[in-house]
Amino acid sequence: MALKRINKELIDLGRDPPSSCSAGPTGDNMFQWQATIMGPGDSPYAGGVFFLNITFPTDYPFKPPKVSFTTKIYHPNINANGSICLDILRDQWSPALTISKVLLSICSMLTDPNPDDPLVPEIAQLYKTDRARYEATAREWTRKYAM
Amino acid sequence: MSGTPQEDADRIRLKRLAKLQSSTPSSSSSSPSTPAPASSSSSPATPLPRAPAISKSIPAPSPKRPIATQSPAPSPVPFKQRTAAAPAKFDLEAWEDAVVGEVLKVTLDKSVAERSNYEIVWLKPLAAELESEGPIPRLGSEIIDRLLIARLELDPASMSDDLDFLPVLASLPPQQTTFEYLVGCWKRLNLSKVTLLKKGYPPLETQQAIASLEKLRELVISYAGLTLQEPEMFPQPSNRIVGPEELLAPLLTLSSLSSPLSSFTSTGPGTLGPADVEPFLQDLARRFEGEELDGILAHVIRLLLFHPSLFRPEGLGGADASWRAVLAGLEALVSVKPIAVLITRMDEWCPQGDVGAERFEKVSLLGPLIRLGIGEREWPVLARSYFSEPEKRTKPDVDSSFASLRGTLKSLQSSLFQVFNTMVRASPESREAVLQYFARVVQLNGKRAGMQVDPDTVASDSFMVNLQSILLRFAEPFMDAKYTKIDRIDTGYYAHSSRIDLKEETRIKATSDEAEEWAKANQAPADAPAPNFISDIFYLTIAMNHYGYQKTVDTYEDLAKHTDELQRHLDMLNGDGSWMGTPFQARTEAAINAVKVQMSKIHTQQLAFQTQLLDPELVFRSIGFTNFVSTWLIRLVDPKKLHPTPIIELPLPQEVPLSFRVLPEYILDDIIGYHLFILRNSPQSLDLSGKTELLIFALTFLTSTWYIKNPFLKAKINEAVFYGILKYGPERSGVLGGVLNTHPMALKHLMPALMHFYIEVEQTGASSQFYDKFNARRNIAYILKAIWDNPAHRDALKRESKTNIEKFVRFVNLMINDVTYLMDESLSELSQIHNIQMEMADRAAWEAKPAQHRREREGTLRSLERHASGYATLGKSTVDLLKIFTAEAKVPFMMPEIVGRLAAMLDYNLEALAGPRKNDLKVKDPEKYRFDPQKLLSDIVQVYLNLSDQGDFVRAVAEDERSYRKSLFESAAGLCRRLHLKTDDEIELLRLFVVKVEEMKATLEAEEDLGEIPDEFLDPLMFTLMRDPVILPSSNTVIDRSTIKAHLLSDTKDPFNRQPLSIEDVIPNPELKEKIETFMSDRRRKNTALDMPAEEIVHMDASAD
Repeated sequence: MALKRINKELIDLGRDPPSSCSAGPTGDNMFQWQATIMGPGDSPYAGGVFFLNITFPTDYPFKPPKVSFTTKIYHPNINANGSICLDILRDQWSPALTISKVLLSICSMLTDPNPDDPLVPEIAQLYKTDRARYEATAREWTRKYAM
Repeated sequence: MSGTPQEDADRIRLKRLAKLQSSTPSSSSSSPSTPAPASSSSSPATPLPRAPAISKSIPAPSPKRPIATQSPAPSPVPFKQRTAAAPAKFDLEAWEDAVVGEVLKVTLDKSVAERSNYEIVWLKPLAAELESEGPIPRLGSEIIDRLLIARLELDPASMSDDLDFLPVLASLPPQQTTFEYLVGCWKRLNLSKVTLLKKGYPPLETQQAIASLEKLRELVISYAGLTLQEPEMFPQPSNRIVGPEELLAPLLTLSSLSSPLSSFTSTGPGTLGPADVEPFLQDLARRFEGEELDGILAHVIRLLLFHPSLFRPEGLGGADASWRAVLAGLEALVSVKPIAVLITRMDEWCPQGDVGAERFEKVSLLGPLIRLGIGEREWPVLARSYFSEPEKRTKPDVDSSFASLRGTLKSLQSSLFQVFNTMVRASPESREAVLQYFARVVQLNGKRAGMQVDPDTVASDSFMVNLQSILLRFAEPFMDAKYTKIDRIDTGYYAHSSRIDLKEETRIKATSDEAEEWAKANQAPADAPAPNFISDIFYLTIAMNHYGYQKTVDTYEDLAKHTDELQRHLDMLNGDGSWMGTPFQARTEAAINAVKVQMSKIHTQQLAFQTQLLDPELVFRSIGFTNFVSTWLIRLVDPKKLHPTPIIELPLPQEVPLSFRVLPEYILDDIIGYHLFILRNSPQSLDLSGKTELLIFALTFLTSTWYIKNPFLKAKINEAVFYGILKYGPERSGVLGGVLNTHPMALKHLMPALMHFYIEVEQTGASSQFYDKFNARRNIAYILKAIWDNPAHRDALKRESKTNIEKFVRFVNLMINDVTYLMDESLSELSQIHNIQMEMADRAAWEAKPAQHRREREGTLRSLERHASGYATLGKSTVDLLKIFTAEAKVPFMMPEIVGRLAAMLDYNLEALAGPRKNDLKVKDPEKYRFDPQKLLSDIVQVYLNLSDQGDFVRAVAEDERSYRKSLFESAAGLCRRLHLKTDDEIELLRLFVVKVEEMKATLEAEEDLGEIPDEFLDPLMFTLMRDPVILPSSNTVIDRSTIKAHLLSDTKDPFNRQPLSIEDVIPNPELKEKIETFMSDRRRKNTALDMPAEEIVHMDASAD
């Protein structure tokens, strides 16, 4: 039932692509997308290209899409499985949000992590106490996995 | 020493007398001096210079006189004993002479002393003194004080060159202390009285004789008190401990269960035997009053109650049971009312000032006794000696430790209660002091109930639990089964009394400002009496429970969580055992052992806690109190104020009474917390009493959730019902199973209450609401399943689905949301697990991977495994729920805003379970993840079957563009047949359903192809043509009614600006609606004109199957 909506989002993405992100279906299946995010220039992820999986649940857009990183990334709100801790992907979702807006939120999360609601407490701790070391590690992972 | 010995003696005597008289206006004139009837009044016949005689036998407080006002008369006995008309056979004077001599063991006659071989002491100096005053009198009332002083002044260690007197001094018992001599006198005195009474003299004479004896007693006791306080006043043997310790020793001999704490033997002539202690104390308390008594006993009391043996690490377990000795001494002391009052008056009773909560129990008088317990933290020696290495102990061994330790605790607690109770009854002041003591403990331990509290900064667990057991005993008298005294409890207590400070406490449903206003508005007028004792005890017990027992329960329950974590760690260390025989073996084994030691230590702590916390008697009392409080709370919100007779009517009124809202939240929290603790640890205790009260409490607040603000509290109530249906022992349906299926209140309200709560947990406002809701709903699903077979409950459900359709639809909607989410999560995690397992299965390829990669994949697998079982369990139970609900009430599932998503979700899951990729879910050990694909498939197919006769459902499945395919149902049917999940009839029914869907699909495809639609007709969320456009009032968005309705079922906010929104607020847009209708009819006309082949398609498809 959400096919029209998903189609519309795809068309809009093509017509007016957000800077540094892209997204689209992986194959024939309109409910399974892949997205890319360019590491923001003002973050330790700069220069990296990160891939994400997007799955639309059957009750989309009343419920949020499932978004996860497939590229490894060192970030307080993203764990080893690629799961993302982002409120709009949980209970702060609104049907008025779109994949485009979700990707932009993730981009800004890369620039500004939220260490107070961490998914990986150790990284959050490091982020708070030793920013330089956090950035160094994040840069190293970016070089290793996202370039 | 200065001056002549004679002068010194006089000076000392004067000083002493002054001292003695200061407390007793005329110490020696109290006995009737005339043959008047034995009234205990004064003796008017005697020409007393001042003060009227006051009988000391009445312990009425006599005004205390400053020493200076008393003239230091050499003899305080200024009256003459008249030889009244006594019968010839009883010569009072002769009798007195004999008795005084016997009791004091003194004589003025050398020959008497000689005859007794100097056992009777010849008071030569006094005899000489008296001789100078006139003829030597007989021993009698007039001179007893002089006799006594003269005797006490004799020092066996002194020298004399008087050859006559030398044998007297030499025969004095050299080691006897003043106190011992006086105790000896006192004992002989008692004996004389017994002898006298046996003689059966005429009443009048007997009375006179007794009066004379009592005078003597008063004197002896006066000096006994004096020597306890100032032992150095008379000569004492140099190597003896004298003073307060001399009374302490006999006090410590009173328990038959304890070994002697000193070398003291209670059998000597000058020692107080166990039977003597209490009468002796009585006499002391009769003789001395107020500060005088304090001066004599306060130090004895300190020595007793701070006895070093109470602070030994073995505590209650000490082989000599010293605590029993101390307690028995205390019991003897408080059995004398004035002493009981005295104790509560001492500074150490309830030390003021800067005493920390942790120190209070060590420096307050009763603290050291109250803090005795079993807890491993405070009494490690004891806990270890009974419970160390628990894995090696048998159950009978542990049980017998429980029994013996609990027996000990019980006797401690009940004795302590008796002590407190005696104090409460002794005087209004001591009662107040006891209440202040409890209140002080509560006040000092305000932070004890906090989440992160350092146990070294608050009172110990044992101290608090023992106090709780004492308070519970105080509460018992007002907790009768019929609740006759329940209205004696002051509902405005927190405004009327400042005993319990709630400043830092969260209220049930009021801000601190509201609470303060309420307190101000309800302040008692200045002249109003203070709240009654029942109210004091009621609220103090609640508070003590919160900071004490309940907090300790939480600490205990945390240990179980800690054990779980350690177990997980242990499992991880053990792994698949592949470390064995590798270089890592030694290190791994060491790590495993360290965890095991840690677990064993925690187990020891747990057993120690269980001894105390799960003591059946404490549990029984505590359940009783908890039920009483919960009944009282419900009565408070009962508009009729009559609950439990008749029982409360539900749901409660919308308006929540302020007196309820301002109560501290912990009252509710602890009722639930305690029930949870009992349900988890000792459900059988509730079987005896309390399950009905628990049921009523739970139903009251689950049907009327707006009475409580804190979402976690409500979730805990729901959790309590869930634990109530878990089986234990032989009780398969749990402790609540029975009442849930029979109690009329349950049959009427349980179903609506569960549905109501199911909806409410969607949005609790808590940051963890997204995950919390699943736990709450899992509990609800279990409860529903447990009661499902009861037709009365099903009727209630059907009633609800008809009379409260909107609510029911919301409920159904959330259930579908959950199934969607949970199934999605669990199936996707299972397929990830499958992938990793496959990767690992190829041994050679796996081992060729870099070590870091393998470690990461293993870590991922473990975390997936942790989640997957949770999601799978939740998913399964929700699908189960969906199955049973669709069988019972179909209409709500057919609502336009529901049916489409239901169909899409079912199809999607059917595809995962029976579609071409079903093998992605094939994992090793599916049971480990609680994954049961056959059951899921069977349940989902059952939902289709349940709804197969509903036209709207058929249409919705046909409209599903994502997962529906005929072939999918065919393979599902095939699986069901092969696995015997469904009967042939059912499979046939499924086939017929698919036929209907296919027909519908054909119709739909033919129906509407509207071509390009203008943007203004499109729904902004779904991009479909709007049928009934409405305007959202706050964001001004135009949207289709069905879309916003569907959205609002899960989220009561405007999706475009997150402002609160309900379907009643939306504004219809008739103009746009008309435009759309015109557009549609235009397009339809065109279509029917052009598209003839549609008919053909329908026909073809319908006949195909």
